[in-house]
Amino acid sequence: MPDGATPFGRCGCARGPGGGIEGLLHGLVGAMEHAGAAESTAARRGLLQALDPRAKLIGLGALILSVTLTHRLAVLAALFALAVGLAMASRLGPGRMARQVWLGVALFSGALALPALVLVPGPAILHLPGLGWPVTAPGLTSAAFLLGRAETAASFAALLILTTPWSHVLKAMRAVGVPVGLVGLLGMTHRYIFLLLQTALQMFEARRARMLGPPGVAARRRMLVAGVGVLLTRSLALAGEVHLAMVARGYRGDVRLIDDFRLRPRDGLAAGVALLVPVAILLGGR
Amino acid sequence: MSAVFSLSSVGFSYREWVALDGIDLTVTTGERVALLGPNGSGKSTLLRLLCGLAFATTGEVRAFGAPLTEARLTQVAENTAFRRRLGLVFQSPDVQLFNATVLDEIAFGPLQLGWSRAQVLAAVDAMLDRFGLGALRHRAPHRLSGGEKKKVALASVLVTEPEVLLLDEPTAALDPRSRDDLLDLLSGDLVRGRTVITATHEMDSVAGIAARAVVIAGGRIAADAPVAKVLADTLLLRRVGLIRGAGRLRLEA
Repeated sequence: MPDGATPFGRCGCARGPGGGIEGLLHGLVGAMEHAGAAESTAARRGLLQALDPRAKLIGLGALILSVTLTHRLAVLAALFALAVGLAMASRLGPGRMARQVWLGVALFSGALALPALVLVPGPAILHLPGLGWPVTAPGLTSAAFLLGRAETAASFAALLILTTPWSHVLKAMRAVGVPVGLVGLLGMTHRYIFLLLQTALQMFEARRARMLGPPGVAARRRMLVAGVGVLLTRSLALAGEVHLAMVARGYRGDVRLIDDFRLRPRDGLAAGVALLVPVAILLGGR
Repeated sequence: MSAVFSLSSVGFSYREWVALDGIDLTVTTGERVALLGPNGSGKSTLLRLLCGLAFATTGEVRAFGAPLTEARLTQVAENTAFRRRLGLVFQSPDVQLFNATVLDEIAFGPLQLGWSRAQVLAAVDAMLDRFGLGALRHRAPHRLSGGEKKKVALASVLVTEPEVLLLDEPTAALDPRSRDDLLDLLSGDLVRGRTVITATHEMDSVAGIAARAVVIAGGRIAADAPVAKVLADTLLLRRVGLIRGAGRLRLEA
């Protein structure tokens, strides 16, 4: 099967008039497809793709820290511009970043930031047409910080995920001291959520294929509850089987991963430069 | 020939359901044994007992000359020594392949057994070459085809060079070409000199992968004889549900 494809097709399954449950599952499988597509962007040539995953993890982590430390909008804007520049140099166009990061974050954090425009006290700079509510200067600044921080931090995080194979992200986390239990959990979740989603979707499709007409609300609710129960049972059985498969190959509670990274001078330089950013922000009075 | 496994009056139950009952079986070094039986007959449970993933509720299982007990495998040295000598390939590669890349998957076993990084990488490279999987080194196992997954599962077990190989339905759910590829591997140099125990209900591939057949039905041994003799006994095969009424078998050399 090619990268980015699932047994349902390349971009998310044969859609049918299945109602909300299947719609949700199709959506989740579609989201997993994005994960598959990320693996292919990570394999492209580009600035960040060429760096050692550990250097990227440390460097981009330092930049995310910088985003949270700064209290100046100009610095935040410069960091966002840096994120856009790194994306372009890593062959991730603005369209892709907008679809996968900026729009979603803007909708979510925008919903949180909007009330600040009118709720934070201060001198009004304009009034909302129709409602007449005053938009205050401090409110605008707060909203800009909230939105700017969310967008910029999400951009740096997305750059790590989109330019690094997931397995390398996990290994890099291990290399920088993230507990093995957490890394193992993340790896397993990524691996098996896909399988469980496929199972769930097939279950609902098999059920629908044997139905004479669209189910009513009560029947749909019963299907959902029964489906969740069956899926939970299957996932528990799968977890037990996977654990046995690990034990059969010598697992005794501590996952050991092979480290096949090579740190070059440019990797150290990139991480070092990135680490200087939060230091400069702290020394420069934030 | 020394006994690799020796089972006497072994039984195993899942709560009230008796999966195995009164199993007496000895497997000697270098033997190639097929465990034949319909679905639910107890083949997979027997493999788990042999692999130390489950423990007999009655009777005794001896492996490599010593009783195979839970207490024995809780000792790190004993567990490592046991796992180093034996490998189990699960029926479903989706269960067996849980790592992020093919490289990690094949490296998993040697790493857990404490091999050095250099040893692991050399062994992984050798396996990738041997199975023709080099191009898939950094691919996610769950994105491979069924045949490729089975090869990776087999490579991930053979990488530690186990003396004993346990295979649970190795050709299940494979297309004919993948199935033939896998059977070629299982009858070639890769398994030569090893003790191989294969659980299967696919009768037309048995002759190619085993010399001795143990037929299990309802958790008991219904027959234990050379493969040719068992396959010729259509009355027995029909009685235990391995073939239908007028079933005929295609025997492979």
